[in-house]
Amino acid sequence: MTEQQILDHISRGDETALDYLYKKYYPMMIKMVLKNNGTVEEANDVYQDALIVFWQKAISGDLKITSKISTYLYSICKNCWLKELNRKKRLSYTEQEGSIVQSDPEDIMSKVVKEAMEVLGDPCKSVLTYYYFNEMSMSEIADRMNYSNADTVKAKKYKCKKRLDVLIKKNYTQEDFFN
Amino acid sequence: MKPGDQEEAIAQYLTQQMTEVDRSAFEQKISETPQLAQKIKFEKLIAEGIKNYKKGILKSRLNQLELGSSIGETTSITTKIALSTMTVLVLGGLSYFLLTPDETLVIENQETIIGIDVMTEDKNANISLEIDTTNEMMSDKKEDERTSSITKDIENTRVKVSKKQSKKGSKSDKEILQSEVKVVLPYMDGTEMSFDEPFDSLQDFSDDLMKNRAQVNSVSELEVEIEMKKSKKLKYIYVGEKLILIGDFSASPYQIIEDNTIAEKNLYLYFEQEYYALTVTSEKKALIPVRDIRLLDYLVDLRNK
Repeated sequence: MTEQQILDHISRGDETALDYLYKKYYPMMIKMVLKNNGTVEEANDVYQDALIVFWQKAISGDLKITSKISTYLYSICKNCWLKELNRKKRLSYTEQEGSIVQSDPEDIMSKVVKEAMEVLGDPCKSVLTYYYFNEMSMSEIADRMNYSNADTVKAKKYKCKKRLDVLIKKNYTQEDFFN
Repeated sequence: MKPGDQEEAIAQYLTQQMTEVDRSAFEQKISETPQLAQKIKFEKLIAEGIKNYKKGILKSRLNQLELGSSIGETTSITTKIALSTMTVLVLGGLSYFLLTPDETLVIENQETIIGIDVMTEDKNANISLEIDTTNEMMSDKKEDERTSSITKDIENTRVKVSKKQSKKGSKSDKEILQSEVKVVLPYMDGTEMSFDEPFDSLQDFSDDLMKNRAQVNSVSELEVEIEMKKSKKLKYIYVGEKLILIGDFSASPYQIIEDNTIAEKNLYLYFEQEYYALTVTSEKKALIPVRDIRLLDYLVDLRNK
């Protein structure tokens, strides 16, 4: 399979392309983290994060790739690992200083959204993830989900987002996250 | 503006779907309205939450994939390969001015492994990992550059690579050949593989090779000669323990990879990001790049050691 074919599969949202890339470059990426003081668990995590960043860029059309996929992926992976090392360094500094590590609002919100999305179910889950994660346009979502047109998707997305907001705000308010 | 319109505008703003003009106008409005700024902050958290939700789904999908063997096993067997592999990497042909048509590379000890611990560097990513291991690797490289003769003791083995000048009336028979490892990413292009094709890890491939490693025949000496020709076509003759490379090898360093892990010794050439398998031939034979993805993976791994 050529690199262009892989990118075509990704642009169609074919998740088997993600599996393929994951397996193909696994030894190379894992080795990089392991060689740089990472554990197997961290290596897996970082590589998965990097691959998802790549996937997200490719699927949203943001990817301007001028090198081989492996090169590009390697640089994302390296970046992710660098960030993780910095995070660990900060965390260790905070622990040494005896400061209380406060929960990250993003982590809390992720848990809340996850529960809410499970309650929402499909098609809302798909519409919202296509819109926010894949950053697809209304007409692209209409094509993907067989809706008649972009306006139908727009209305659907609006309703789904409202339902999600209701589920989130059932237990939390804006102030809970910022105060 | 209706409430629905404002929410749509926020969503478009957060998903980068606004035009430049609309974006600037909207950002102006945000700076003037603290309530709107707060709302956007909250909506951004929700949008991130949705993204993280999808990431979680994708990650659990990846976690369920079977990779053939765990990385722990991979590392362990890789180490075994490194210890048992009778591989010689002749780091030769460093620069144009060092190599002339009548120069010969002589490998003095074949039963060796040069452990080249390199980290693949990415030209496109201007990122430096300032961590200990990288520094160690860099210092290894510098050491190599300083050393007049490449001599490395690894696992009680020793390699010496030297340059012999046969016709130029050199002061001594052997001179220093500085070696430099040019680090490149493995070539992955142009390989036809199906999505349905099961993943064959490098490990499986290495395991096959390991089966016969007991029958390794060590080789006493390999002599490499360059026959300079300005032709684009690269050819070679490999007979006895002499390898003659014919063509223009001045552009970049080349490496000879000798793989003794299997009963029959295999010789490969690495030049300008391509790997070539060298078979015994007394007649000039064209160098044809290796295209087998499994073999390429194996060679990349071998070379990186």
